[in-house]
Amino acid sequence: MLRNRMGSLAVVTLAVAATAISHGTGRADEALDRAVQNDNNWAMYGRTYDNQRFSPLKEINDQNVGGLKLAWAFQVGALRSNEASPLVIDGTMYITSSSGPKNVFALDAKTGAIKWRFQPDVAEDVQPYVCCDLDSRGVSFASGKILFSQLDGFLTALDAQNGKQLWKSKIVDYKDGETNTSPPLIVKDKAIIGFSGGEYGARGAIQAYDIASGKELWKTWTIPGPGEPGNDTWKGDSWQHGGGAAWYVGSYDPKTNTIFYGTSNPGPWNPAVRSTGTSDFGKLTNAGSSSTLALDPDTGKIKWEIQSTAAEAWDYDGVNELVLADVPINGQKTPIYMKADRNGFFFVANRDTGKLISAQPFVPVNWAKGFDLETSRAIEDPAKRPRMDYKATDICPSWMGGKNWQPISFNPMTGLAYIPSNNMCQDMQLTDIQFRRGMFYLGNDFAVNPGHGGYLGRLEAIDPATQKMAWHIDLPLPWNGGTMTTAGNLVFFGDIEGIFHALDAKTGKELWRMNLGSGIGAGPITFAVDGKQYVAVLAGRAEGPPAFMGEVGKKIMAATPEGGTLFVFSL
Amino acid sequence: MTGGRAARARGRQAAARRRSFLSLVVALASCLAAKAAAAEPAPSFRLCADPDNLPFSAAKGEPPGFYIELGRAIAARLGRPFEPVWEPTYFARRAVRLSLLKGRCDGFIGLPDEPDLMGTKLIFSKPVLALGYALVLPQGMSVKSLADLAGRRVAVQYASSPQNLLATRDDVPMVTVLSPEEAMRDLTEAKADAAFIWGPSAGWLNKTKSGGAYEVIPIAGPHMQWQAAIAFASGETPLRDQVDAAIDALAPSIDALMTKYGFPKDTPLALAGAEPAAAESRPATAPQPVRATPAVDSAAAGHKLFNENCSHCHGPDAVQGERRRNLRLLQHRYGEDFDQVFMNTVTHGRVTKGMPNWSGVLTDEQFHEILAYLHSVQEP
Repeated sequence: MLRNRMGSLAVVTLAVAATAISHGTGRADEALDRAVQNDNNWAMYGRTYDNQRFSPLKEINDQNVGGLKLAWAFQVGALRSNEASPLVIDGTMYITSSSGPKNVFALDAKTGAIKWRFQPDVAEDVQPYVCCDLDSRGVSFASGKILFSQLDGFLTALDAQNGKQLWKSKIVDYKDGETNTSPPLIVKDKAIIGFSGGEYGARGAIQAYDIASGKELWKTWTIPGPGEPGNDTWKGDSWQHGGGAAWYVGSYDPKTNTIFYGTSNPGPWNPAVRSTGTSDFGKLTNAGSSSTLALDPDTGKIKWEIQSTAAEAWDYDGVNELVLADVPINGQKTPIYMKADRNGFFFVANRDTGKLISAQPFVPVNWAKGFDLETSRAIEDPAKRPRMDYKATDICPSWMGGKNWQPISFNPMTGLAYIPSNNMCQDMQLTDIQFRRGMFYLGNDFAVNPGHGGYLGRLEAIDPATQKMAWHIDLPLPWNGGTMTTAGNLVFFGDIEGIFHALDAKTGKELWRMNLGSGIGAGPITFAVDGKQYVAVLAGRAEGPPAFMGEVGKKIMAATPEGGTLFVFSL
Repeated sequence: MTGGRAARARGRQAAARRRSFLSLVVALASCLAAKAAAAEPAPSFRLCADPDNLPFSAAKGEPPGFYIELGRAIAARLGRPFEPVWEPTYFARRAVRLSLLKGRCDGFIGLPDEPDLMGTKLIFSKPVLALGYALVLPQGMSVKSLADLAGRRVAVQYASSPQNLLATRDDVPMVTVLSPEEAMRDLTEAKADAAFIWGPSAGWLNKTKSGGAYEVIPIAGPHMQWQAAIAFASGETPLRDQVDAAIDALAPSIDALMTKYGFPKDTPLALAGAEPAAAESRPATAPQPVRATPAVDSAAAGHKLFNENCSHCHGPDAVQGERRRNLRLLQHRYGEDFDQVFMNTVTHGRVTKGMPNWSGVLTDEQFHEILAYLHSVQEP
């Protein structure tokens, strides 16, 4: 759904840029800006504001990657669900472990020698409130500071030089089932962050904090309140606890001064409470949930939004990261965002106007027969919509999503996006999930089943301009790691069986592989120090999510043990 | 916890269990008088409970909660010191996995005896408490059917069964709250006219905070009522049997504790119109079930009634993959008692299994039509 809370469609009339998105305009945090402009660095989660996870480095390339050798390894000190992308800025690496995080390290990026270590005080009783696992996706860098979110609801800033804590701000109360797992997005003087907890009565919000002091500067609810456009898409008072949490990382386009965030599924799970509960939901679309939001980073004002799943009922959380690129659409270079959504559609939209360009399934999808670009609505199959009194069977994709949090990458040289996808389906009947005092929750677990076609996961290369799949590699298990791509015509990714792969970015041909001993979820990175290029990935298999994946989860857990080791490779 | 520490802890617990079992055997072998003279003190009866869950259990303050007082009473009857082990229950299965199944306690109180919970890993005591959702009404308000709530602002807990039930109607404005405390506050501040919330919490708050100003009426129906028990790791049958005997003997104490904590004790009320909807949404006023014309084809009428009233749990046309709910197996399961079991179940309910009492909702004639239909679809 396209909606603009500012009253009119914010059409930005800028000349279409002829080059790829510029990383530096001087309008962002200056220290970060300098760091991002240096090709040797990996200065933010997706390397640059556009979240492409693309590096122009090419000392390691499709001709020589077969000679990749271990340079050093480092134990991050916590096992399971290690999901961090390390940052490397001017020869120093910053990385978090899982479990709170238990550790934040600054390391010599050439040797792995510890420069400093910080162990945050994370509430010991947070685990029972965390939905999925004790993960941390790493840190952010801004003006001499390292910022990271704590599972127990804090945003913490450290001195990048010595690891001393500078400030710590409370974002949410974890005892309300709201937690933080992702690093903030740094824009100018602000650290911008959302939180998890869409299922537990939260109303999602994106919040901005002053990098200097940690003070809250603005807070924008993702779900519209009374008087805001879209509030009437919520039944009764359901908007108050409507979910739509923005728990993953944001992207930023300096050209239009716009930040982009995905939002999670609406709450509660029973859509009859907030909509009609059927495919015939009329205007009760639950605006703000399972959506892409474009906001002004200075004020937090929403410019526009596009909903990917209206009146959501399947746990199709729309939180997936937005990857920004300029690609030729019908022969004309167009500023787009791309999003491999949990609901199985690959969305391409004009990020300046907020208008959808294309939406095609990138995994087997049967809950919808297609996506109507004009109305911005899926064409639903009503038989695949679960209800309180109706179990829908063999719904594809499953709650795991066509893609989950594991990040995609985009290579402007090949024009391809590299997506770790899941081919899983589910049977689902809705049930209430309220925590009852003195009585355990007793509800149906969602049965998740292998998808059709003999493979459960895939690494696929899709051209966002045409939606055509250039190549794919079938994988025996779902829940594989994120991807990274380079100017050396390479794609790197780790799978859930612990194998780290280097592939030809144009053809998908495997050029190198190494067993790292524990399932990989985190996206790899690359950087250079003293003229030498390195590739790094954090291995450490998840424990939480496989526990709700039934038989497939058992296979994932049997494939490798939990782990927590950073591996760094070079030629 | 690392694997090594966990393994060592499990080893210690196993040793402790062996010790406790030995001392139990010794105690049983001796006469009562000898027990007092036993050289080794009896091991603690370690009961896992939520540290912040009044009125059921609380690590700090007085009173300690129904479950803790009951745990003390059970421990006293077992002749063992009582030791609470605190484990938050926000995510239930994980809590059980990390505490009870790792040997950190001997029992976990407040679980429903349902195979869905943890499969065969657990065994259960007798129920220690029936609990579920309740209507909280100001004195003088009478509610016998869902239609009686029309136009009233009803406080419901987020993602709860009452919220799901009232969401099927358009004429009951809901006030969504995150806790029973918030609902009772809304009632007091006249932001809601009635509440439909977790009964024991309502009773406790009504007693301690509202001076008994409200009536708390337990409501029957699917997903409304449960029976809480104490779970043990499978293999702990001797301890479970001892605890069962203690629960039997403690019946008067349990009743007194329910009074102390203000828990509602009435038989749950079946609200007219609260029978589960069929797949389609219903009109605002639930129609009375149509009286079938005298059986031209009783089974055909029963088929329609079944799909309207029963299929949400038992499957359309009684096709059901879940064996326990598969009514095509009634003949196989009950043989010549089929009709009697059916009539008894529909007129009394099996509330702990989610089967409501349909008396007053469907007529005797309609029950017989559904029965005729079920007879026509039994699997050989």
